[in-house]
Amino acid sequence: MRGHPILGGISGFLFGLFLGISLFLWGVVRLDSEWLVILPFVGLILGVVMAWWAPFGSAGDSSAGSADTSGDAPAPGGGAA
Amino acid sequence: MPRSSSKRRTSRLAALLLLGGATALLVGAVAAPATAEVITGPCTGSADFLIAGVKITESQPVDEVVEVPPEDTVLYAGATNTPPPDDPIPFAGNVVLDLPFGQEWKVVTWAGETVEVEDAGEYGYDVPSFVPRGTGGLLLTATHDHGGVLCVVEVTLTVEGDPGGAAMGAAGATLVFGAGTLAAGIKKRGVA
Repeated sequence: MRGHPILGGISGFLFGLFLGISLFLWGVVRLDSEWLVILPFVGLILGVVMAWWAPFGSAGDSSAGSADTSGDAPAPGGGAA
Repeated sequence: MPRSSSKRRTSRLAALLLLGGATALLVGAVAAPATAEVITGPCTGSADFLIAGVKITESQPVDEVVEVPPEDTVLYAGATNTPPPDDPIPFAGNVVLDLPFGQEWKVVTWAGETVEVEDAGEYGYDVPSFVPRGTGGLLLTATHDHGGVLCVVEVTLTVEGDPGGAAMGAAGATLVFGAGTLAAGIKKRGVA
């Protein structure tokens, strides 16, 4: 897994939990709605999927990427010297 | 522009769209109406909210949310629709409002002995501050046991008012943990 599964699982669960609470408090769903139980687990799965997919590069990766780019490009300073 | 950078940007956009889209779909799905009315027993009855101008009967669909003011006077009427007994029989009942986290507010209780099989009157209520305002539907259950004849009616209602600071806090926490869920998609250092 390339991302952060523990962070994803915990954050996803709490994201779903508070999304459900918000939907109830803002009058979107009823208190006895099964979605209030389902949403935290959907969030948990979403967080783990996000960690597995890991579409965002870390700071280390981006610096490595810029080094590669500079390597691919012609070196104007070197050519002048 | 390098192809890997473009691919990464597309991937990030897809992740944001996934989380946003999933949230929007879930909100749409949970906003769908629930099932039909719930009633047990032969009783009939009504509650007429004087200030709100709302009338609830035993046939009120449970998936319809009734908005009531935090303070009102209710004209009530009820009948068990059973033959009147010769001797007084025991009766008992209550009206209970379900609250979040397994809590409840017992609006009113009654008990005694009677030969009557119907009743009517006036009842004033004042919703306590711990009952949340402006929320989604809260289940109100009215129960009446009349000498072994049990009647149960469920009505979904919400108390008029502003959801308040708790709702703002919950919305803020949703955003924070939504960001945490996205952050879980950041690659670990040293992982290609």
